[in-house]
Amino acid sequence: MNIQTQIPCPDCGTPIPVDGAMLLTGTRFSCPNPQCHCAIALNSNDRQVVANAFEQFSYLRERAQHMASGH
Amino acid sequence: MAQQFSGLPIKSLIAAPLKAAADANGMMARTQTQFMLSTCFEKGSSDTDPLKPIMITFTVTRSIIKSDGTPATPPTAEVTFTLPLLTIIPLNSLAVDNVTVNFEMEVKSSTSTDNETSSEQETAAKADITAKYNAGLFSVEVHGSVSHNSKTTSSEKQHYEASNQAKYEINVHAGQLPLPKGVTTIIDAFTKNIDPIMLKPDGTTPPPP
Repeated sequence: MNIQTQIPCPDCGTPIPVDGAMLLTGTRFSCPNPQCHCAIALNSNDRQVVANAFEQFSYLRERAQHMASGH
Repeated sequence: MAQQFSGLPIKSLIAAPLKAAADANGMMARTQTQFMLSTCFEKGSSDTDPLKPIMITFTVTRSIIKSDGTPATPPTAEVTFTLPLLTIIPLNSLAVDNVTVNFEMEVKSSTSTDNETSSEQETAAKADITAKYNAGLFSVEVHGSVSHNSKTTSSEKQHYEASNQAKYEINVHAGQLPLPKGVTTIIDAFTKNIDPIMLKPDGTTPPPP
């Protein structure tokens, strides 16, 4: 599962690049804005919900790639 | 040679992959919509109830710094905010964004004729002549021979070569396409949920944007 996404920083609005697999492990992602010192992390209670969504999205993306390659 | 190309279904060769890509995009869009509705929203108790977005909670860690620039005690503060699950799924990455049809045909024909004639004579005719004459004490003897060879060789070569080559190649690439304006608006509205609500001076809350 390799899902790259972005979450807007709640303080300055700068998009924070987020790796899906690392997000599920509880990793904190810092805002790339050097003036902003925010860091966000997914609450442990919601990890399963996000994991299920990422898993289904990965399956969907795999099907799309198969469809595009003509298999 | 032009006849070799006149029977080709060029329209079908080009249109068929484009139609297949459009069909694939339509299928992917329907699948994404179903995924979005089933995974990122939850149904109400009855069928008439509107779908509600599934919210997930994030923890924000912010640094606290004193006016002189030194870290405060405690140095960080943690707050939580909720975000719709829909906003962190990169839905716009599923689409065929590039279709390349390459059709290459080569018709090649060549003719060559080689003639080769050689002549060599070798006639195997041979005659020996012997004559002898005796005149008293003297005797004369004459010997002679004649030969002739004749040989004829002829060859002819003809060579004809023809080749037809055809190459049909379709490249389809699934890449990132922008989301429809409607979906972007929904996601923007949800994303604004994380902004703090500023109270008016009289203590009331402003209407949502």
